[in-house]
Amino acid sequence: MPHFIVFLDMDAFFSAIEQQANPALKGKPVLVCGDPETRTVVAAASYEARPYGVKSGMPLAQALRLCPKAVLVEGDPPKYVDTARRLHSILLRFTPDMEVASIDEVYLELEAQDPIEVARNIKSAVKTELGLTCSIGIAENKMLAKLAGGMRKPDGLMWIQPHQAQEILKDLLVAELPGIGEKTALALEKLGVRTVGELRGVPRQRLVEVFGRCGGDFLYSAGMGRDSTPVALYYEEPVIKSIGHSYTLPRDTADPRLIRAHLHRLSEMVGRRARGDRFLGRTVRLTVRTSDFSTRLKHLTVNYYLCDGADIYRVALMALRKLCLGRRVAKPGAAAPPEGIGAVRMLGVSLANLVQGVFQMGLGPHMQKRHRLLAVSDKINDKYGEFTLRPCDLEFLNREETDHMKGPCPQTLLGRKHARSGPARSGHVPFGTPKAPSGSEGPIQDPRIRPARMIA
Amino acid sequence: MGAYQDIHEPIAVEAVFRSGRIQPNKFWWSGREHKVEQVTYRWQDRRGQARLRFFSVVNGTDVYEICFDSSNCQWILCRVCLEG
Repeated sequence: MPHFIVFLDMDAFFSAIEQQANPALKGKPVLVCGDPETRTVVAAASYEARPYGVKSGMPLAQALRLCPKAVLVEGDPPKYVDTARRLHSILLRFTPDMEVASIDEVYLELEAQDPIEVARNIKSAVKTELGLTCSIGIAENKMLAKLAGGMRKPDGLMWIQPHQAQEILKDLLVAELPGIGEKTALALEKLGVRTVGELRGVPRQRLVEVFGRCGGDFLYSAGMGRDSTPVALYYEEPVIKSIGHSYTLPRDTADPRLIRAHLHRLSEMVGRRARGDRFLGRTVRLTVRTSDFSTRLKHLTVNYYLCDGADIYRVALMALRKLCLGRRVAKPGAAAPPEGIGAVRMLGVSLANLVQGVFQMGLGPHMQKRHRLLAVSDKINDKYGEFTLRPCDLEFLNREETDHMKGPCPQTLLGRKHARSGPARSGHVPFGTPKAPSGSEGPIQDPRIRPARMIA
Repeated sequence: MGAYQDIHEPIAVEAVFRSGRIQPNKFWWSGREHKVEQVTYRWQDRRGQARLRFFSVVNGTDVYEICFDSSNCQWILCRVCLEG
C-alpha cells in the first residue's frame, strides 16, 4: 500500500479555541496575547484580524494600531495544551506514526489507497470533537507536505502528488520553503537564486561551498523537492541536550537584588526539572537581554555535576559577574551601555553537558542533609504545586512582582495565583505567588497559570 | 482592556456528575442565579496532584469560565466576559 506524509496545521489555533469557548468572539478580530496591561506580543491572531496586517509575534501596541477594533483575550496555555492533547489522541486513532512538530502542527505517516479520504476523515473528527478546523497537506515527504498544508488555509486540504511537485515548486520563492529563513534567502539571492526552479539549477558543489556541507546538501535536496527526514515517533523520547528557562521581565530593571532573585527563581526551576528527569549537568548557560535588545551569553563549566537549584544559581551568578565585564553581542546599530549590563529585559538560565540516571550527592553530612531536603521539597511541590516550598529570597520577588494583583488570597491550593500548574517540564514560568493571609475569606486567586509573560 | 474580567471567587454550582463527566447546570454569583445555557468548551489542568476541570459556559450573551478543583470539591468563577 502506498505511504504518505500528512501535515496537519490547526487554523489560528489559540484564537480559534477562544472563539469556540466564547461564541461572542466569533466573526470578530481576536488577538490572543499576554496581559494587555503589560508589554506583550500577539500570540495568535484570528483570521478576521489578519487582513489588517496583524501577525503572531507582533508587539501588541503595533497590532492595535493596525487593528484598533481587535478584541484582546489574555492567553490561557492550559486550555491550549489540553486541546492539543485531545487533538493528539484523535490523530493516534488514525496512525501511531505521529510527530508533534509544535503545539498546533503534527506530521503523520499513513499507508492508504486514498489519502484524501483519510485526510477528510481526520478533518471531520477534529471538527466534530474539538469544534476546530485544520488545514492538511499531503505529499511524499515532510517538506512538501508542510508546503501543501500552507497552500489552502484555512480549512484547506492539498495533495502534492509526485508528478506535480516540480511544477508547483518551479516558481515558488525559496523563502517559502520550510527550513529556509530570511538570511539563507538573502544569501541565495546573492547567488542569483530567488525561486526554487533557480535553486534547482545550482550545482550541489557550489551550494556546499557557500553554505557548508550540511546546509548545501539541504538546499540541493530542497531544490529537488526531496526530504528524507523521517517522521519522529510520538512515543520516542527526544534527546535532551539542555534544560532551560527564560523570562522577560514585566519592566526593565537594573536593580541587582531583583535581577539576582529572578536568576535564583529560574535556577530553581531548571534544577527541579533536571531532578525530575534524573539529569545532572556541568555547564550553566546564562542569557541576558538588555533594554536595547542586545543579548549577552555566558556559559561556565564546573568540574562537578549539578542539579540543585541553589548550586545552579551560584554558577549563574558567577557567569553574571563575568558577563558584566565581557564582550557584548549587540544588535547592529545598538548603542553599548557605558559599563555593567545596564537595565535587564530578559534573563535565561540553562543547564547543559548533561548525564542522565546518575544521582550521586557528596558523602559529607551537609550534602546528605541537603539531598534529603531537596527530596522532601520536591515531594511537597509535586503534591501542592510549584514553589509551594521555595527559597526565602523569592518572597522578595513575589512582593515586587505582584503589586498589580488585587485582593487577599486564602490558604488554599487555588490561592496561589501564579503557582506552577501542570508538570514542570512544560516550561511555563510561574510568577508572583501572593502571600497567603491566614483567613479563608475573600476572593480566591485564579487557579490558572497566567500566560502573559510566558507568551511575551 | 481585554475581553474578559478576572474574578477568582468561590461560587456555588449545581452540577450533574455522571460517568466521569461533569455538567454544570446553574451557579450563584453576586447574589444571583445564573443558568448555564451551554457549555462551549471544556479543558483540564493540574496543580500538583490536584486536577482542575474548567468550563466555559454561556448565560445569555455573557460568558463565564468556571473551574472545579476535585482535590477540595471547590468551584471557582475564574473570569467573565459580560455581554459578549
